[in-house]
Amino acid sequence: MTTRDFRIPDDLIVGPDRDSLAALAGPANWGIDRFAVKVLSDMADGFGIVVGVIDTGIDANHPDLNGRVIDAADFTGGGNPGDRNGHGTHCAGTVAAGNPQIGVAKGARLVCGKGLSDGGSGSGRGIAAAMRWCAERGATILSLSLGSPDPDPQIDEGGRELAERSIWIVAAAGNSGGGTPNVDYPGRFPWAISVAAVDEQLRVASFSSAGAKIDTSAAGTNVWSCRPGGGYRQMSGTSMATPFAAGVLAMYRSGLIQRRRPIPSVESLRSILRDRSMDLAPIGVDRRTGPGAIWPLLLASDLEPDPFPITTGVAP
Amino acid sequence: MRHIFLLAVVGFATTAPPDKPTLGEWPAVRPAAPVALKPDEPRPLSIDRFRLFWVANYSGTVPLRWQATPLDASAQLDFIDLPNGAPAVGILEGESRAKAHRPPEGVANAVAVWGLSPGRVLLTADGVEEGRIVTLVRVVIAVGGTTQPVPPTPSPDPPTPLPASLYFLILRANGPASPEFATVLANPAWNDLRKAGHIVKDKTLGELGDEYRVPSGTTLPCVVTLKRTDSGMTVVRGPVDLPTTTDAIRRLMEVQP
Repeated sequence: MTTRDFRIPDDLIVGPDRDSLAALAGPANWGIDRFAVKVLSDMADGFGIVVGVIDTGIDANHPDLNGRVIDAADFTGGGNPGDRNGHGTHCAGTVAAGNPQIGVAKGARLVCGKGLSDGGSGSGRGIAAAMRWCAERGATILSLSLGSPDPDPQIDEGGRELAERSIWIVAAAGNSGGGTPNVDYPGRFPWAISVAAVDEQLRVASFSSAGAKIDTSAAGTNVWSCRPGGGYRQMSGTSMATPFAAGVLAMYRSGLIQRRRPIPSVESLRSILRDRSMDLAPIGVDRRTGPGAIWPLLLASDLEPDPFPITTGVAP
Repeated sequence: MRHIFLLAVVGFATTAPPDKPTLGEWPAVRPAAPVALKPDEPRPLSIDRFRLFWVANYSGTVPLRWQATPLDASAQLDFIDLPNGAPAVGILEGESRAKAHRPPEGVANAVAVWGLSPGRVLLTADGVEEGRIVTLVRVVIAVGGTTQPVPPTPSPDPPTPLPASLYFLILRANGPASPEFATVLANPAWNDLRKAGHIVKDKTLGELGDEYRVPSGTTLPCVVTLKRTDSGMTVVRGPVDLPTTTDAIRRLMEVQP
């Protein structure tokens, strides 16, 4: 296949890169503070979970990613899973960088399937192969910061197959704004969890695509993360919100495993997200943020033991 | 086609069932390594010296996680994970600690441990087997060269259940939580309840199921207080309005079972 159907969304690089984040006040990835990630990471930090990042490759030697990457492979025909675009390394850093200012799920590990070329595009065939390869390497959560307005049968087949094994696939809603009829594929497939982007005030980002298929929202503006070759880059896009959500879900899944709880199917997970998100304006489930922001505090509460069955009635 | 070939290799790469994970260490306490783990035999470790430990026969897809738990208040050590197949450099203060350490050939899942102050430390390695997180190995390290056997140490997990725990079940309407509710749930006073040995959990009515029927006229969100008994959970206080202040949250503990 020579067509190049899928692309990274038009994510925005914000301002100049930095060699160090030391001068920043607070976590560079503001969502770590704003979403109170620590509440969940104190219970489960993602240990035991492998997250597959299908993107433009990865710089596994970045100091914040060193030791976090189990494996990486190329599915674009270039033969090298390295990242000369920067998008993949940025997304991978948000999922599980060792730097507490950057990474959401510090206990999780990464496998990276390069399904997009250095130019940021890739075929459905390559992306589907990368998804399967990540699953073969132990990934139980896949983060796909890519999209297309058109569905691809090979990605659909691969996604359905993986979802039947309770592998959670998180995908970007797209960066086409509020006037769109629906989110991009693969996020629009029923087996995917599609992610919209919100800003520091927890308002929907202007670029974030609208649609009935939005399943959750996450931090997606002005996000600092790893840059190939070392250093850091600040980017905005639903591409950035997607690995944030994947990192939160990695912690949640890790917590379920530690408590020997069953792993929800994708459909059940969607229901959980509906009840365990924090509502954002407009009120209720809506076309911009879905049920609202993925909220670690509410997912942490779900990890607490269940009380029932009750043996007696209500006391007077 | 190349991609298909790679996937086929993965699909047919079957191996015999792995042996049980065992602990290896260098320098070895005894000549043979790896040695079967005997948690009641402490490994001596001199101050300012290092020792390498590793887990053999671990086949999980997730790297191990090493953790050190002091068993004596004075005990102190430092350790670093050694990435599989990569040289690792451990740099600590003092000439004897400024060394580069490479795991022995073929060794993975290794950790380098330095002794800092005397006492016993429990070193554990957690991994994932068949989708479950398990503690694969435990070893007691006697920092300071102690060679006297010590009594078997109790497992640090699972945590000892606290007595007399109450269960504060917060009920709310179906669907996403409001920002106001999330703010109340983020009040640190809930953790005071948890630190006192109680459990706090929120559920939507939809998540509640049929086990508990909310009395008619109840305003949501609310809190139902339950108590664990030998035969299950008993409601000791019916629904009350969700407290919104720190003091009111703490007063939830003032219930007479």
